[in-house]
Amino acid sequence: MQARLENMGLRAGKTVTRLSSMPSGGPIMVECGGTRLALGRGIAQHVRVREVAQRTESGTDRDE
Amino acid sequence: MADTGIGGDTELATPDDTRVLLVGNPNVGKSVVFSRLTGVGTMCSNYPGTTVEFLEGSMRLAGERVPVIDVPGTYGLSATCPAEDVACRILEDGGVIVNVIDATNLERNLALTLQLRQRPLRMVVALNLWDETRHRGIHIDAERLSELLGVPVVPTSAVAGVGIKDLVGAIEQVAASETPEVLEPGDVWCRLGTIIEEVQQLEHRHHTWRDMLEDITIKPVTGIPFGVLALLAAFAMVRFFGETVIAYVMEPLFETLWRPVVTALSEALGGAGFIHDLLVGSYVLIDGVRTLDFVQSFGLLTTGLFVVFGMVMPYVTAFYFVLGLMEDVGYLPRLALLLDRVMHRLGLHGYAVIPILLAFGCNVPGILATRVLDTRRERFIAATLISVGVPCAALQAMIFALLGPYGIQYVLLVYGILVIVWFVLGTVLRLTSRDFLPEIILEIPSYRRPSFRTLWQKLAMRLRGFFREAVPVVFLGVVVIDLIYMTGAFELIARVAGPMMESLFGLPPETALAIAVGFLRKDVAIGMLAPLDLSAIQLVKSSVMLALTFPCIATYAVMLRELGWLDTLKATGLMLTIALVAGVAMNLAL
Ligand SMILES: Nc1nc2c(ncn2[C@@H]2O[C@H](COP(=O)(O)OP(=O)(O)OP(=O)(O)O)[C@@H](O)[C@H]2O)c(=O)[nH]1
Ligand SMILES: [Mg+2]
Repeated sequence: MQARLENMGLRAGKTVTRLSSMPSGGPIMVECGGTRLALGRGIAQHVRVREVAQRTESGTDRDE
Repeated sequence: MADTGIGGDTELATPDDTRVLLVGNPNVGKSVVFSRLTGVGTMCSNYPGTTVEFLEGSMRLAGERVPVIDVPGTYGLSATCPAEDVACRILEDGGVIVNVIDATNLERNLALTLQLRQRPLRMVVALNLWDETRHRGIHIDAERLSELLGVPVVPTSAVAGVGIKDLVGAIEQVAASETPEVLEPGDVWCRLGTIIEEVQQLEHRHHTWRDMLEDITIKPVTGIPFGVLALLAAFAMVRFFGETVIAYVMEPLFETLWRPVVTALSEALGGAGFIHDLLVGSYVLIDGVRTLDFVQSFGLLTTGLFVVFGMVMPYVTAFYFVLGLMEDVGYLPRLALLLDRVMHRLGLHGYAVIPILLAFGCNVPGILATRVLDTRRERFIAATLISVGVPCAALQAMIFALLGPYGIQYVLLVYGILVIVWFVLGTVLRLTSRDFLPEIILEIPSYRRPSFRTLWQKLAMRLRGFFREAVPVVFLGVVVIDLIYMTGAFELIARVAGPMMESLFGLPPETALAIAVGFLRKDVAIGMLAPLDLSAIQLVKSSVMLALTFPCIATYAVMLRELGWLDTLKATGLMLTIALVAGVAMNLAL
């Protein structure tokens, strides 16, 4: 799963911006390095992020 | 109506060193490049996963014809999902690689390029969507990129055909040369960073219409109302266009130009008899007048032609036009995001919205498109839901035609019942799948202004598909129905199945025959209901039954191929059960 997200552009050390989140545990949409992704909440929860100002930056991008 | 065209299976051709493989991330324009290189029309849309099958064509290279293969898009070579697995396997068998990349998203696209460069492959990079970089203030030094990668890099704008000549030149040159040295394995991401830094410059971007539209369509507060409105508008547009063309073009054409021909033919054939009834159909009483009717007479030249051209084609055209627009603008992935929660109720996730929407045109491409889903389980659920509960455009057109005159509320009732059945079936499917939690991972491409050329090409391809596959089967259906009536087999069927139809569903025995014919084609089957003098409610009931029971034969064929016979059998069992339950429930409730 991690490899898949990396190939899709979501990698450790990159800045991710949350563009939108659907209500009641729905998916979220993020932007990272010019790629926009829709991610299920379950997956998104495994992406560790560190807050940077009003932005968010992914620290270690790990699952499970 | 398999609109994905040529080449069905993943096992393709023989390994061949001269062939050209188009490889790249999803949605970067591989299929557009493919059709530019080969002249073969392809489906191209603004969402990842448009191409799910290998397509093969050929091009001239240094005076020789060589095969060109459009490989389904892949994000990496690590085979993390079935689609990638397939793409990886084809690389093993040799050929010249054309790595198509999206110039507006170098970083992610180059990740695949670097992975490819770690294998001994002859390859060219097509820096596609070059035209888009200008609008977005992206500057890329293609020459430097080529030096760093050690392979030729050609900027292209495939939709406009710009750069294709240079690309062909580069392919020729690479095909004739030795395999370049592979990049030594190392940290792909690290190397990526340095390359990007060196070749790409970004200007400050202004807020554009894209960003505005993006905001409106993905924030839940505005996005959900927008989505509902967009779908309603799409439905209204299809309905309006279909109805208008039928009422003001098709019907007048048939009445003024075609009726005299048919009447003359009927007279020449003596007004009755086997050949007569087969060709122009039998006379029916309409408002007390004995006449040939384009809907009810059931001749090849009356009902056969009229169903195809006068009833179904206008709607199919309108549907595919509107769908093509939504596809090319890039709205469908947003819809997937918005509907993700809803789809979870059915044991699926948002991405499944795309195959399901395609299925509203024709179930066959819809079921093919379920290949974008990751697991077998999801594919089974999606294919079952499609074959049972998604009426194709032809079926919907006929429902409009027959029920419309009684009032829109009856048409809506049919859709309402189908939605209920859908959620019941979906819930059953979800609950019966253990330890299974599908989650959406979907790239959302940027909005693009649709190109008139791709829109038109796509519409033409889909319509051609419709005529090729629909016309023969509609005609076959008409002949079968005529034969059933003429041989008296009809009485037999009615006697056997009639009491059941009567007592269980409250429908006249003739409807049993319509359901059987529905196996061939749904539109002809609904047409059979026209002469029966059914009440509006009975029409609603039988339309729903027709939609639910056996998908047409083309859908069956593709299900067998995609799911295997065991799962197809399971789907059939579910379908029969749910149709029975729904039929009885409707009989009790309506
Ligand atoms: N502006 C512009 N649009 C392009 C260009 N090339 C492709 N497109 C558009 O990009 C979208 C994707 O093109 P496709 O050819 O379907 O992409 P693909 O790589 O085959 O995608 P998959 O089959 O999903 O892997 C379509 O809407 C095209 O019209 C280009 O050079 N410029
Ligand atoms: Mg494609």
